[in-house]
Amino acid sequence: MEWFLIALGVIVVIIVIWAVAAYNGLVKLRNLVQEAWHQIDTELQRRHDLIPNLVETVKGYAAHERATFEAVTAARAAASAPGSSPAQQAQHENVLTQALGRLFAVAEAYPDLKANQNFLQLQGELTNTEDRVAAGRRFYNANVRELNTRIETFPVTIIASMFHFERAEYFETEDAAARQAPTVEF
Amino acid sequence: MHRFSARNILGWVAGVSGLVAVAGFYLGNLWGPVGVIAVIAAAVSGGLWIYQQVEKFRHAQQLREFALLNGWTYAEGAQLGVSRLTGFPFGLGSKRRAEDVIRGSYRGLDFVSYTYVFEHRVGDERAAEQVFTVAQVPAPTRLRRLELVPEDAGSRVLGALGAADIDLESAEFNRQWRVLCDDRRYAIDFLDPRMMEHLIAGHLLGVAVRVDGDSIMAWSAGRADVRDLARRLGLIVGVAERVPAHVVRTYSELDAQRRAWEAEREANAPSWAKTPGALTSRRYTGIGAQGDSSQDEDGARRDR
Repeated sequence: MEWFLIALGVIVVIIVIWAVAAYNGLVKLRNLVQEAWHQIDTELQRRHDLIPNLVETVKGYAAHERATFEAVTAARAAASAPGSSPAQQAQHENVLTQALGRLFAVAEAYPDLKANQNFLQLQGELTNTEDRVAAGRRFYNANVRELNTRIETFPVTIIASMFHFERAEYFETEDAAARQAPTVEF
Repeated sequence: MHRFSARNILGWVAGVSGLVAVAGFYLGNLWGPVGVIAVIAAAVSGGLWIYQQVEKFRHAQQLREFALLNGWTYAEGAQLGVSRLTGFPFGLGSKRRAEDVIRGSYRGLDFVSYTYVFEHRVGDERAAEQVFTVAQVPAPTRLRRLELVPEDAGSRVLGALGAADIDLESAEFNRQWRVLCDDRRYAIDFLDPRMMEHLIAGHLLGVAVRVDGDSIMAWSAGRADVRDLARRLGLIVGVAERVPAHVVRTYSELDAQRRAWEAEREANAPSWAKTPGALTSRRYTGIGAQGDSSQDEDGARRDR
């Protein structure tokens, strides 16, 4: 009987140690996800800050393209609004990306604008920022994947449900043009 | 006293059986089963040694011809500064040298390929020669260290490098490669989908890839077949071409900052620190003297 109690005690201790380690692992992953999201947020903020200057530069050459400018401004305002979840932020950024695409399409029609140094510099910085956003998104999604996998895997899922750890949302773009299959005509 | 080990057996068998064969021949009494076995063992060991030397020579010849065919240069040995390289398999053992050195240009990038040889002794054992094949190309900028080890590599390699792995979003890539890096964010940035696709397509059995500083290298144990050289070069040149633009930008800026800092430090350094031999000439330099010129004169008198 004594040996049984000792063995039972050892088993309980092992389970408690494992549970503590599992809980700490989940906390660490959740913090990593939050930190990765803050890094993306910083890059997105930089992207939003570049847009007003870009719009003003294009306005100097194509002031009549009001609809395009208003669409970019509205999309930027929606994307800059605080309190969005990753999925909502992704939607706002997709709308902004489409609006910027139309703005650059307008710029294509003005050779003087395309040669403008300020415009070129802004365009370059915007491209660099979007590269960093894309890289940040991959890193964030990698952390989300790891957290979600850990939460859903047995037996850690027991600890996750006990302490209310929830799945995190991915930050994914939905570029309709990219998803559409190209039409090939011979 | 050397201990017997598997690596030493060939040498010991050749030596002992050779001695027995010679003794038996001169004494005339050891011919018979023992003498015959000794002679056969000596012949086999000697034959194996000769075979190894012939293979080494033939390998060098193949490399020389392959280099000439592609307009590259070949040298039996060269000073490449391999002793300064760090990380397995570099930095181990003694008598480190580069053999069968090929230099040239591949897809617009200068490369160097060589056989890295060193001698390694474990405990009291006789030093054994270790051979690795290395190919190097320059990186677009100074980069952080990143190791890509094929999952089929032996535990010895993984143990020497540290077995902690970084998983990425491609299951196929994770199956083929083990990613070792102390900065997970950098590894994920570096290994973007284009890079992973290239590494999956260019995966070579037993060949590891290392990004470190200003070079990207592929290395593997043993002397590689000459046909492997083009595939290795394709692998690492492809890596160099696919380093993500934002990674190159970020690390170029960091490198520029580092150079500016070093230049400023050099410009602001005291003259005594920049004078060659000032600290080793055993002459009183006045370091630490607080403007006391008499001390300088005393020191100069002592030295005369």
